[in-house]
Amino acid sequence: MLYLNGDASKEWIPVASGTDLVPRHVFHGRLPGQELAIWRADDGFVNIWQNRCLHRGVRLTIGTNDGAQLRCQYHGWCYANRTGSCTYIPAHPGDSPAPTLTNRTFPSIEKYGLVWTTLADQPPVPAIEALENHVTVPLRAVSVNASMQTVCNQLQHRAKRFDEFGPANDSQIEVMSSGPMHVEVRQFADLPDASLTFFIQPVDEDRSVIRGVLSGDQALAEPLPLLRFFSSALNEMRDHIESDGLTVFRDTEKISDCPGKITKPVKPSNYLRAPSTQMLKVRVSKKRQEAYGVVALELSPIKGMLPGAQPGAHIDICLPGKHAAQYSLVNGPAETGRYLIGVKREEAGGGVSRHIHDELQQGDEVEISFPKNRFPLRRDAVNTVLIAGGIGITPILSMAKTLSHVNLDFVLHYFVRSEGHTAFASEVSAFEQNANLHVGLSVGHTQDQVSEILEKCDPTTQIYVCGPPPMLDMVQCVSKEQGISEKMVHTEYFENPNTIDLGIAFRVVLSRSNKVLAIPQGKTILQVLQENDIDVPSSCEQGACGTCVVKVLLGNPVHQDVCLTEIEKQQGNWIATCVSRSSSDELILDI
Amino acid sequence: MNSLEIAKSCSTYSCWHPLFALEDLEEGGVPVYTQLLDQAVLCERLSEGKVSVRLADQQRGPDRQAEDLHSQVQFGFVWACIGPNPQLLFDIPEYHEPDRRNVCTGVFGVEVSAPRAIENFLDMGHFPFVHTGLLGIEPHTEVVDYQVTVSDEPNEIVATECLFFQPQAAVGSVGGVVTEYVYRVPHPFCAILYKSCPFDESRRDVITIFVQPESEERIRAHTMMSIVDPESSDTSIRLFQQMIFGQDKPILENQFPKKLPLDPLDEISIRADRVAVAYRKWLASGGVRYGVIPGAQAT
Repeated sequence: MLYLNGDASKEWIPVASGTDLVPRHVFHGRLPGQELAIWRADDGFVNIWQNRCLHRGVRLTIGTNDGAQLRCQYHGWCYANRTGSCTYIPAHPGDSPAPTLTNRTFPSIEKYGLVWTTLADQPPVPAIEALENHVTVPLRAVSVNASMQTVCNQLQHRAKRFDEFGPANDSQIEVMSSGPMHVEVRQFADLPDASLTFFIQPVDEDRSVIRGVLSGDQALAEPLPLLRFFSSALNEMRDHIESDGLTVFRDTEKISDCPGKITKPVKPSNYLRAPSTQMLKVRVSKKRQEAYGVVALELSPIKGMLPGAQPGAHIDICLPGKHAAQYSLVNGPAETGRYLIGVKREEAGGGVSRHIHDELQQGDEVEISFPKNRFPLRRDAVNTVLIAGGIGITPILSMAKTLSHVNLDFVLHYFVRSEGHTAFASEVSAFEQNANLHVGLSVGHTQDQVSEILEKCDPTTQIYVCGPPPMLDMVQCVSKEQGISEKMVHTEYFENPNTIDLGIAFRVVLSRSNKVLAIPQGKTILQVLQENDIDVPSSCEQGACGTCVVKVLLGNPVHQDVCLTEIEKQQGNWIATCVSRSSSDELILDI
Repeated sequence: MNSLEIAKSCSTYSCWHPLFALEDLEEGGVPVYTQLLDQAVLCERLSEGKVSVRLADQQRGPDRQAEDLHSQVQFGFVWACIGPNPQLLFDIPEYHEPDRRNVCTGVFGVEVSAPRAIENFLDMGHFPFVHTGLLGIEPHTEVVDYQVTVSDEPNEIVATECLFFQPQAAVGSVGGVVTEYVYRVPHPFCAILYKSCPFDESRRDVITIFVQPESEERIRAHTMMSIVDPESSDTSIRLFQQMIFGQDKPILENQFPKKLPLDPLDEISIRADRVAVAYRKWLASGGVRYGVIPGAQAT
């Protein structure tokens, strides 16, 4: 059987054999006008991407497939399995790449032992009757210097000659139909249940690849002689086609004028779109009790894929009529198919956690934000210390999974009230000697323990802490006493323990909007901006998440947030508009 | 417009371009072919350090040198200009210091455009990934902010305070150090690097790349070092440089497109690329069309 995609741009096209995608390999594929980097992640997912790093255009096929990410060979930019989103830029270890910095991806399916993609918008999946419900074995792909149409005509014509070489001299070839989709059926006399289907992959205007698939049941119990036969038969056919003058050799000078030749890459369409206010619907695919007062939720996409996230990232869960609540992703770098979060039941607060615990069911849909990252993980430290208290384990665990994946040394300390309060215990214990569980320590003992941990750190050790605010304050205090540079201690607050003072009135000047607004007593900058229809993204609205931070061009901000670092606060270049005020009469903001 | 027409309309037509290391030409030997800006040229070393360069298809009249292209010998290389009014060639003052060793470290043919090769020379971020164990090593991947200035007089780009952790910065280095670089781009297709000298803290070694654009997508990169190093042999200095360039070549040849895109939206730049961003702008504003894909505004 011979099957040809009439208009290559509108169909699924086979671009590789499944067996080409061996573990940790990146396969170079090609369609007219498009080079492809094709790789299989350790979870089996087949990624088909534009073969080009977003940064300096280096082919990703010379990069490294680490099982969960593809890493560019030039500057080590990492792109995540499934989404193709950039997860790490080594030149700036402290920054978190925008979640929309995403490589161009193409859809992939595996069928009949071949890997298929399409440049069109979801055409119907190929269904070839002779191949359905049979064992299929792909032939060795044979590339030919001739157009798809030429190869197709020659295949039809020359397929009969396979008899002359073949093990089945009495075989017949039946041409089933012709037209844009050509179909031939070949029945082997000796192997009555075997048939052969040819697909042609266009590579260029004048290059194609013949991808044959044998199908049958008993006939393929011993496929090797057949594979050998067709391997040499197709080679011979290629030689015929190429020596018959059917190949067009172009003047290399003029190659850049050929329409099939790639001259300019396709720009990724979505990398500049700001996602901060965009919401996403997901389904609760799993809900399980994780520890005392903690449930774990797995959130799966309803349509398409979830945006990529980096270790330390969080999402907002938005329930109707309630303030958004922030939850860190527990995902490791390989886990891109769903988001995993841990939710502690909080009796105080906006009620999101109580709703999740009491009302939310497996299968329900919820609205979440794109992942945001105020707690990025550097991967340039020789040593990293991770300290988690209670539910603060969630971002810390994601970091540990990442460090472990890229083989960087780390030690994880996890402080919990009791064994029963230990969320994600099995995932933590997977780190074996790198993980230390501290159960049921008093406040004083916790401090002693933290002191001891920090004393062992050398000046190059990066320290990440997440937990309840008193614990974060304590770690910061202890590290200061020990003379550890503030740059090395990274914290994330989920709530702001400060009492917010909205007492002083002042003005803000919006330099880019050319507006002056009065901020009265009792109202935040953010509220006044929103009342005046000025779009500033916001989330927790209590100075913890950092979503509403804007640039200060002039003036003296009075910081009441916990999202900016001490250094950032001293510099006075940024302000969290949801809580912070001004000690000058006027603040000039870059919005 | 074809490549040759672009070459002729581009500001680089009146630049000096390197063709050969003088030491690679035999005095009084046969003229040697090479290609410059899509045209075949013949280069001949005459006696007393003089050279003659002409277009290969140029018929010679009775006065042998009347039809010659502008040529000169500088920094150990033969330079030529096809255009009628050559611009002044930049200087490297350090080259003339008496105690320096000036070593031609080899010419490398690369299937890439000239500005891609220059940009790679100006880039520190790739050290841990491409020159692993020599100019960089993981996890020390950070490129800290550095300064870039673009001046009119002389018309060049200078990047300073470029710091990078290097396990073996030069052939004479032992052990890892944070090396300081200064980059200078005095010519669209030539760049100079100054780096801390392992033998004399007060001085800096000079490494240069002079790119000969054979065509828009094929170059010969001529490299030279002018260093203070009383110990290493010329051969070991050359081998070190050739190893480094040998690591860059496969990366350069896998860049797509081969020409350098000047539209800022075509490739994502980060803070570490500050000098590359300045270089791209400088090429665009300097009327460089050869080996680049012009941005939307500069058609």
